[in-house]
Amino acid sequence: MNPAPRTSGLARLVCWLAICLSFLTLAGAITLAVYEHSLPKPTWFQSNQAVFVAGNIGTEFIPLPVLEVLPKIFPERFPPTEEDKVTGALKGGWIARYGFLERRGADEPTFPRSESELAGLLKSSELHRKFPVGFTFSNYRPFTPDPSPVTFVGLACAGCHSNRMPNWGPGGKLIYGAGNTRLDLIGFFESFRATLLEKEPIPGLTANQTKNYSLIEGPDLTPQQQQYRLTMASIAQARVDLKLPPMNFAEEKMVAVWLSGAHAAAERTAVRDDLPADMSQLMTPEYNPVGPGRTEPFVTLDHEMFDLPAKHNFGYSKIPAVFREKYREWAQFDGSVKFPRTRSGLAAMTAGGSVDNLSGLGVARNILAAATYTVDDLVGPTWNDIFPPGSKPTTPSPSDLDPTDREGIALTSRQREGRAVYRKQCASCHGQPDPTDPARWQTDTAKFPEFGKIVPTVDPFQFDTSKWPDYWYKFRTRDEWQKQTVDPERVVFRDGSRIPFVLFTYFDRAYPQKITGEYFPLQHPLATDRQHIRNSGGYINGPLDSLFVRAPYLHNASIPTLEQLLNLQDRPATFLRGLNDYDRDAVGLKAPTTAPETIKLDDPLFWLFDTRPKGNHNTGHNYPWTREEMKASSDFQAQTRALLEYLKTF
Amino acid sequence: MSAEFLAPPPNRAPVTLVQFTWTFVPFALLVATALIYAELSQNLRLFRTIYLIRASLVLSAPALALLPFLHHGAAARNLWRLFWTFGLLAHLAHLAYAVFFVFGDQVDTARIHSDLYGLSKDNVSIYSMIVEQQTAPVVWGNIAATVVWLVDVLLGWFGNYESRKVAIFHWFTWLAVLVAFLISTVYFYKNPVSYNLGIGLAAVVALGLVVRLFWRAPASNTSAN
Repeated sequence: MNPAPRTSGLARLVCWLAICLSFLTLAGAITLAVYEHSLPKPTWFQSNQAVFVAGNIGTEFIPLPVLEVLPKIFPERFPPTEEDKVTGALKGGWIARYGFLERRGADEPTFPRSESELAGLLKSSELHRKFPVGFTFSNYRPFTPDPSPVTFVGLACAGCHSNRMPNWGPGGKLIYGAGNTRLDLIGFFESFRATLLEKEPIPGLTANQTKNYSLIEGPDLTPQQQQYRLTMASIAQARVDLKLPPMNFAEEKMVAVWLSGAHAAAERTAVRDDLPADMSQLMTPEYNPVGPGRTEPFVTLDHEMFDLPAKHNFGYSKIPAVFREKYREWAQFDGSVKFPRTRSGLAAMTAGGSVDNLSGLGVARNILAAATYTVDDLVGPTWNDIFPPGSKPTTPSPSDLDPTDREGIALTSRQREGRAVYRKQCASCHGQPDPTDPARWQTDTAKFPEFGKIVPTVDPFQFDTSKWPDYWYKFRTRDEWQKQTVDPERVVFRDGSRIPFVLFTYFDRAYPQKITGEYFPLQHPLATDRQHIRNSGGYINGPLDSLFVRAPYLHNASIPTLEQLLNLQDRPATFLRGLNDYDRDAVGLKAPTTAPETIKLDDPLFWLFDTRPKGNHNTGHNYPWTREEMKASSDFQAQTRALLEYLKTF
Repeated sequence: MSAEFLAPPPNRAPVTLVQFTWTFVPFALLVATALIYAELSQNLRLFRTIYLIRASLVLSAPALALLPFLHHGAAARNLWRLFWTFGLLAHLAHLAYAVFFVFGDQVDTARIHSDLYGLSKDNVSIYSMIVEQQTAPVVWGNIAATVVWLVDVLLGWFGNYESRKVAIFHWFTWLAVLVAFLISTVYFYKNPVSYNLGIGLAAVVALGLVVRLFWRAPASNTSAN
């Protein structure tokens, strides 16, 4: 390279300076790229069960080094846990407070049994042994399929869809696929949001500056005199205090980037949703209207899709059991999503996934594996799997049974009476166990014409009956409809008419992405057809397998027991929720109907379910008989008692 | 196009420090920006791929505009060669990211769920995934354009400038690369950045051609100024 004769010394200097600086910039960028590609690749499980329980589904929300110190920095929101001396698992503290299921060692009995890969993981991975059921650990950054030098923590499907039965005591059996009836998911994430928003006085202020102005006023501090409680410095100090190893350079930088973004995102949610409630407020329906064992899926969708506060969305929904999904061609309580992979993808999206990290470059294969598990493999327990054999009230007497009736052989005479009631009153809508193989469910619509039909919750009689969709249950009169229809809020919320299309566009590359406005240029494995997502206008008639595990009942968990659902008992207007014991006689949760004067933070039953506000109504499904009809007829009561006994066998 | 356009250019002159600076600095900064700016996205590999092709387009635009001026002095020729080379390097980086990371990192998932990628179970490879995504004519068109571009850059540095065949090859490559860029920006027209880059490229090249039509080559065109 020969400099031109006319190029001055200064110009040459400038040229060389520019070349050197740009070269260094390029070399730095390439080094960064090479380093990122050298970071640990994701671990892919072979077994679908391992994916369901421990697989990453794109929900990373916090770096592990930060989660480890939250109890130190925010003990009021994340009470410290203790370590089980035998298993090494964390228990108590925030895990108990928010209703996560602590691990009880690799050999804990589960239903279904842990397959070899999952059992091996629980033996070999300290993190999976230590943290609650359904916690995942990956080297993905949140919302992305990109590598991170620091481990991030997220929730797998089992984080919400697992429970212990009959209770959470020492004898409780871990059931994969059951909805966690204790999990206070909204409370947990509100507290997490609070850790990103709460502030404290900056160091160096005098005691006079930080003292309360009066009995009811805090200190007079300007914004400049306050800082976040969760900072790189507070994290580092907490790690020193807890004798945890310090983060290395790359981990520190990644956590700093995450913290900066998380603070900014939390500030945006504060504008939209207000500040998080404090801990005692989170125990009240006023501030935490969702409560244990439920979520608010459409609020999350409103946040994600429209950036709306969704203050008038009351579509509270029970965390459902996800057994034998193959019998649910249309999934969800409202039959709104046709294919399991779409259902699982959208569930992961509402739990924090994004178009990018749920793509083929990210964890799409885990979403698909988990969906396959719930469709093909995961069968819920029967009564005898959970309760000791011999707890049946009478021994079977199969003398008058059809030899091909394998189900009937296992039934008591009372249960067989109940089966007759079921087949007459219930099977048309819900299908029935296959008499030749009780592990299977019969859904043939020729035999059970109302199976899979939608019971509309929008008033169908406002429309010309000839225009009703084929999939609606055909009520003859408005009175008949009003007896059956349940709380409509999950279906009739304000954005319910436009959300199916927006959901469809979420994974479809023909439509721009919400955040970037760019078009995702690749085929997305979770993309689906428009006709596979719908607002059905009501709730779907589904199968009742493992019915006793699905308590509390109705989509909004507003009825604690099956006995109450069937109108054998009054449905309580209010009842306490939290860590409820199981009621074998009434089939469901033991839920006191009156709250004590005061509820303490660590009370097992801490949240008052009031069925009167929107979204919590416990009306509808007055079938086979209304409460009034039931009270008036001992025959109806006897038939329904027999039915209840039979339903225990599902 | 006049006969003069296809006349072989005169002998080359050495690249000056200033010329190298004017081309290398944008190259280094654009590629570095493409690699680093993608960190702000939610999909590092995908957006590095996208930003690298945009960098390649920006770097190639001056070269595409300068080709008609090969008779207008060594400076024009050297700048053409340099921009043409750096544009190709960015393009190769784009291809590497697309093939080995964007598609390569999805192959395992596609092997398990081939139907979701529109592939049969026994026909899952990086190549089949790209063809399914882009169609075979587009894939082979891109491969051909890249190979031609590579050869053209080599000819630019080591070829015989006196050769009329070389000049024809330059113009053939010019056309192939220009068309490839314009088609891709039309294909991705929904992304305003891509679309606007395509319009900008077309404008720069058109401007070059218009200026060339009205600007005669200077009498002496071999100086290395």
